[in-house]
Amino acid sequence: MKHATWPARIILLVLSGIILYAILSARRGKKLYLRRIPGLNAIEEAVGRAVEMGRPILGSIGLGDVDVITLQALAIISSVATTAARFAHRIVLPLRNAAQVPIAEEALRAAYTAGGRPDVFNEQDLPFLSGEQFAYAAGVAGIIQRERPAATFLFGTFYAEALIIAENANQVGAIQIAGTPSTTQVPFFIAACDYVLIGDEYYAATAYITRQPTLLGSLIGQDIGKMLLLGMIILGVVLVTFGSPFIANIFGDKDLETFAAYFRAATGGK
Amino acid sequence: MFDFLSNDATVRVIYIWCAALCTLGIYSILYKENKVYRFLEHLFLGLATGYTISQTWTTILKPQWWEPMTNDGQWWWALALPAGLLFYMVFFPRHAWMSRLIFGFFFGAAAGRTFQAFAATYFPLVKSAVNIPLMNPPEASMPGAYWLTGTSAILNNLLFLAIVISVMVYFFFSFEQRHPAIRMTSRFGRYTLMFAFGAIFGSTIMARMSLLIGRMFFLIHDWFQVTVLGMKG
Amino acid sequence: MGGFFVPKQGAELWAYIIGAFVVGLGILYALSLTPKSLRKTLIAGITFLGGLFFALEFFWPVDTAGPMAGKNFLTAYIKPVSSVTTILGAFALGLGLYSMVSIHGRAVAKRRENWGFSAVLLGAILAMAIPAIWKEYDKSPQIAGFYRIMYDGGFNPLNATMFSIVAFYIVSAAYRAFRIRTVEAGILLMSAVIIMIGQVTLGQLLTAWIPNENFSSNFRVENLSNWILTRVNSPAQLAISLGIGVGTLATALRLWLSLERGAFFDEEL
Repeated sequence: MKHATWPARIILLVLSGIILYAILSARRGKKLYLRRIPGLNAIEEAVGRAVEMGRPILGSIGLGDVDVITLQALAIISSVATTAARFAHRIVLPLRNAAQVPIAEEALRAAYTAGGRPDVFNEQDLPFLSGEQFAYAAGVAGIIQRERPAATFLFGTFYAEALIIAENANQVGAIQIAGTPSTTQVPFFIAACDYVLIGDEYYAATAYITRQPTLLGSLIGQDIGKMLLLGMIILGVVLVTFGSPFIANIFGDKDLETFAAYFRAATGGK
Repeated sequence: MFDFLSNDATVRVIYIWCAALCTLGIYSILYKENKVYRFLEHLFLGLATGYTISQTWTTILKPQWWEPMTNDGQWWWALALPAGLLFYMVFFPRHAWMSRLIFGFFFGAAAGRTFQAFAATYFPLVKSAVNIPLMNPPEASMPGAYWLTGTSAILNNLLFLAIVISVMVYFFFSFEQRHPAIRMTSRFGRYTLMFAFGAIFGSTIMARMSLLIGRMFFLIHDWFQVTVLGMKG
Repeated sequence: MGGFFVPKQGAELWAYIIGAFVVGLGILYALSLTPKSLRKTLIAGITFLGGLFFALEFFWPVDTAGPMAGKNFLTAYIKPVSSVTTILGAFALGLGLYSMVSIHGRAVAKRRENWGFSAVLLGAILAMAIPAIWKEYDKSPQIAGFYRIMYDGGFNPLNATMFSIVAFYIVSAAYRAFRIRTVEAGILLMSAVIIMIGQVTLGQLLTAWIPNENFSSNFRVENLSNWILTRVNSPAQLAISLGIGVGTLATALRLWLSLERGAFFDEEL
């Protein structure tokens, strides 16, 4: 769909409105509940383990460009960094995209400052490795073998190199927490890592860790949005069962001529 | 002195030997990290960065910026350079905040594209998800259908819907999943996820093995048989 | 004289180019004078405008007939604006290069431990970048031959080998994960094994004796494998995707409207 149909405009505006309303409600002080996410509870444990063993923490924000997924990954790693800063502990964060370098440096510097130890931050711990997928993987594998991190946090967009990084970290005995919206790599993270954030848990991570009202509100809004989509799917299946492709037509990629046309199946141009 | 570089056969022998040594050296990390792997790692990072530099110039900056500006007379592209310099304001503490202007532009552009990406990616998914009738499925009247086809199509469609519901329920965060019905649905969703991830794992293994076979073929055939032993290719 | 925003030629072109660059620098200087209290507002405004173009182009109604069918007044600008973002993104390469060269350059200059590897890295950058760019302008066979050695003898096989090494790691990951300790690991294992067996001829031979028609065909391993992929994997992936999609939308909204929170976004400027 290159341009919005009328149903797409309405659905997207409704979803956006729900999310924004939930954010504003949360900012006004509404009490919010968030269910347990095991992988995120393990972050403090992982950082503590690294501190006890005197080995660094390794992070990766994946292979994405400067996009929504990478920024979310950086937000999670920054939260980890704030925890690590309290123990004056290093995080090594090899980077794949040149444009990520200043953003990651500023984010981690701010995180270490928020954790009370800006002096621990070292730019050399955020080396730019390469824009090429497997060169990045080779570099991270080498860093893992030499630095021997006690904990690794792998968040962001990953492809085939995910297993190279995770298995090398296993070889050095690191506790691993991973999360990615790349569903094709989740099985490998499940096989190689101790804790994995699957699908939507990835986007819940920053809200869970920081308990920031804006982020919590956004998560509530997401839940309501998902309920809306689920409701439309169930309704759609019921309607299709009785011969009406209303929901299917709404989610189609073309505007139909009349509102009534949405209730009918397209039959040879009628 | 460098005339040998213009001889195709000589160049081929050189690069096949280099490729074979690179391949064997990288595999050495499977045993443990060593100086050979470290050398090749740094070589790889350098070559990849050099390649990125050349690609950035030849596929992006030269055809999209330099040539339109200098050859086609589109002088306004010169404004892109000061805009690009905003990235480098991070090196000046007093003006470091200015780099956030261009990053903000990129964040905003990425965010603005999300609406179209959402509709293009997820609307077809929802459309395919609802096209599962729970009565009189079209499979029952297709050629090759037998007496159980309709029933099995309905059961499959019910299972499809049940999995979609249970997996989505699993990913609800904002309420405690205390009610037994919700807990069971959520647990069914989690088990279904494991089934699905196992399927992805199994279907990917073959593809990865074929890559390994490719490298083994290169080592055994292209390098050892053809180049080292001089056998016909 | 012609218009202002029309292509120029010769000396006039270079005058305009230099002039535009100087004007650009002037704009940067003016921006640097922004008072602290207005900086976040300015950044939020530019972030919003950056997203507004793409959002508006998507949501604005399109013409249904005529030469602009399927397009609106912003569609023609999508390609140039996307070009601008690509070009600006390319300028950022220098940031990564600076990081790399400063770390490894310092290691070489100060003869730190293992400085030789840093020298290899820096040498490899030049050995690849120079012939790769040079061959665009000089078609001599020596340059092409040297580039071929770097690319086909270095970069390509290193890339392919790192990709192929995943096969070894898959086996080790599977061995560890499939020491069945939980119900979930067991389900993952069972599903993976059925899919693997169903994809290879040897595995399909196990159930080749079952007639491939009517109800009995469901028990052939390739059909079972296909059923798992289409009837179990597909709806699960769909449900995950919808959740991810809504999550991406929410994060995008927070970024676009500068509502995002975190150490980076909350920092004083």
